Amino acid sequence: MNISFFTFISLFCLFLSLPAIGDNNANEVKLESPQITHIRNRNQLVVGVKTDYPPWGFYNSEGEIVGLEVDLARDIAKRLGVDLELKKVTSSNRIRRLEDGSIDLLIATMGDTSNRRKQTGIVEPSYYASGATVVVPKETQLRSWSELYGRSVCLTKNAYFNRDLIERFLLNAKEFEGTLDTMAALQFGACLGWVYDDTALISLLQDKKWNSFKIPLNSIMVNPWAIAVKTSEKETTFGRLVSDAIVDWHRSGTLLALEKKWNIPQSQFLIEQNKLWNKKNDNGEYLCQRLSDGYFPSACLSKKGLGAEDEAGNYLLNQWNINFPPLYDDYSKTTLLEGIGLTLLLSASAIVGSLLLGSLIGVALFKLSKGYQWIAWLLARVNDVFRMTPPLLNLYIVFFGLGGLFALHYGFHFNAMVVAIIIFSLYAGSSNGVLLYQALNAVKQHSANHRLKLLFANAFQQAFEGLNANSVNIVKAVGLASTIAVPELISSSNSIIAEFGSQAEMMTFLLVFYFFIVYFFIFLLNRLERWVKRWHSHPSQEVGS
Amino acid sequence: MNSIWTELINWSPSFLSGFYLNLLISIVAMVVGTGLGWLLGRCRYAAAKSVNIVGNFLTDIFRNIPSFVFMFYVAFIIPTEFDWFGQQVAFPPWCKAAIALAVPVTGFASDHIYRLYREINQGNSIAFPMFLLSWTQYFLIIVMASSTASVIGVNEIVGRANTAIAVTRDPNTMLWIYLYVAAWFLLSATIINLLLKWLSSRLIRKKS
Repeated sequence: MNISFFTFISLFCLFLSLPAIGDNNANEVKLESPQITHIRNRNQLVVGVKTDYPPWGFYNSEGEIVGLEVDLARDIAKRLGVDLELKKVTSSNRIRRLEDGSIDLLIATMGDTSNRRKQTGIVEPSYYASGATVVVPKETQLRSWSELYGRSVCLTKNAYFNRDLIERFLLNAKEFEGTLDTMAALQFGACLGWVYDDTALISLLQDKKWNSFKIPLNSIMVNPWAIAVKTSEKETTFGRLVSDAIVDWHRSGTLLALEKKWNIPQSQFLIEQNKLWNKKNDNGEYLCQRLSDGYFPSACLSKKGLGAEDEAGNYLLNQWNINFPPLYDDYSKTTLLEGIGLTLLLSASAIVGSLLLGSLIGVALFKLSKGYQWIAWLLARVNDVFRMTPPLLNLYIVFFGLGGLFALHYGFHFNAMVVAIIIFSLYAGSSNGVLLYQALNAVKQHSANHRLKLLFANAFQQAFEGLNANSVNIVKAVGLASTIAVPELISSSNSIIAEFGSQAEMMTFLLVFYFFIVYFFIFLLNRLERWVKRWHSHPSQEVGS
Repeated sequence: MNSIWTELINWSPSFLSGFYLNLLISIVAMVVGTGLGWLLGRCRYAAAKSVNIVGNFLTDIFRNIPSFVFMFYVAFIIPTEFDWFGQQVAFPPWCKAAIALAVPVTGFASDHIYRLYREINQGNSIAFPMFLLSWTQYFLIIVMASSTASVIGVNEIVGRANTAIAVTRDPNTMLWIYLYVAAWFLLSATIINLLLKWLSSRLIRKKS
């Protein structure tokens, strides 16, 4: 009893002292870096940079690699007192090159993500950060980024996200040099909106000249940029040297000056970082400096600690290089699941709507064609309009055309989901109506009993193949609702692509998902047919007996 | 009201060349899809069971995949430019749209050509003209669907309507521009339908 109590106390004391031991270690032992010895021995620092990303890293007319990031690399080499060698890297091989030792340091427009933090030694703080947002004229209705798909959009030359934006939103991009050109282009309607650095646009809109414009959407693709060393070098003298250099660049305004040198529009991030790292307390010490554990206070860093993530997603990413964000990012998982739910709901509602509407139209045409021919004729022509105009255009007409007028005159905004359900119900319902009308006429010729209920049940069964095909077409068409900002599956996949750039994975997922979901609906509809058959066989027996 | 008319008239030439692109996309999609579908339909009709299975399976895939989803897939996956023996070859978005729309055409053609082979074998003399009729009807559906190409940046008629709206920037004209473009589709559909009626009436007369 006594012994176990003693053991407990001693274990407890040991436990309490553990963090203290850890602290002491971090504080006093600054790991010697094998990499730095290696660099000094060969008298050369090898830095991986981009060559296709002006003005960050690109070939000049003499064939040399130049750019803002090259200047940063040169500064690090100078601090080490060695020569600089630049090696070209790409987004897909840069981390591998760093980890296998082909390069010592990586400065290659790399965004700081939780995943990359697990793969390599991200050095803090970030040296750059930015996001994109869009400016449109005040009258323009723009409710989601998905409305920009395939549209003409103004971009500013040299913004780092231009290429990603064009690829991820399939933009018809028009690139301009200056803000005045872009403003003119916006005013003449050469583009729907101007997508550019968020911080720059926000400060621009404070100018009176720009008061007929607005920023309707949240920023996307906001990301701090990070320099990286090999994972094992993160806490060594080498990692610390790079980290100190970045802090120095922020404090001294080096980054701001380089931004100017390379004609990069001024970023709010750099201005804020410059202020932050220069902040001092009452004793005249910098607020942002290494604590006793060797780390910076978290308030000084732009990327906070790692979130909990799914192992399977990381396994796919690390082992197979398959980037499927919903597996490791909670927000994209929710987005995707909501998208799937909305797609199913939209499909089911529109199928029910189209069957009801089709029945109504079919019966109305059938009844009216006896005695009220001209009304029937009119109804058939109106019906034709919905059959013979593209559903995409009908969505635009109702949501933007009518919706715009309602918003303007009555201040009433249409609900996109409701508009989509109505349009898809009308689209397939008009075809269903014609099918049922023809079937009713055919059934009537072969039937002695002219009770409408019986005729209709027969006609429904006869037209079933066509009704089935139209219903399946609805499932295939509901993706169109993404163009009017319904956050269904295509919309949500696209927003994940916009955030993570995982085009191939998300698109393949979409195709496979749709393949099975169409099968699923075919199965359900076949069930419905069997059910209708059974339901219908009872009343006919009744009549027959 | 007057200004709306002049707006619409001013934009008409642009819409016309946009609609030309819709027709071009649709025709290329129909030709490519029918070729592929013919191959699949022939496979399903072939004597060898294994060939049948392959034909059925591939047809299922083509039938089940929505062209709108596939359009995004093609737009994201196929690069806009690629190297062809050292030469930069551009791959314009309208070609991507045509490839995507060829998918449903392939499913349609496979089904109808399979049926066509069977009916010809059973001695149905008007099987081929009937096939042509439904083929033309399907062309109409594809023309409608070609409007979706605007989302991947094809400058077809709906894309041009969006441009016109961005330029005029008046919510009052927006509705009229969209309605005007809808009228184009309606008109072309009516023309094709009249043509179909005339063709089928000739067909019936020929038969009797």
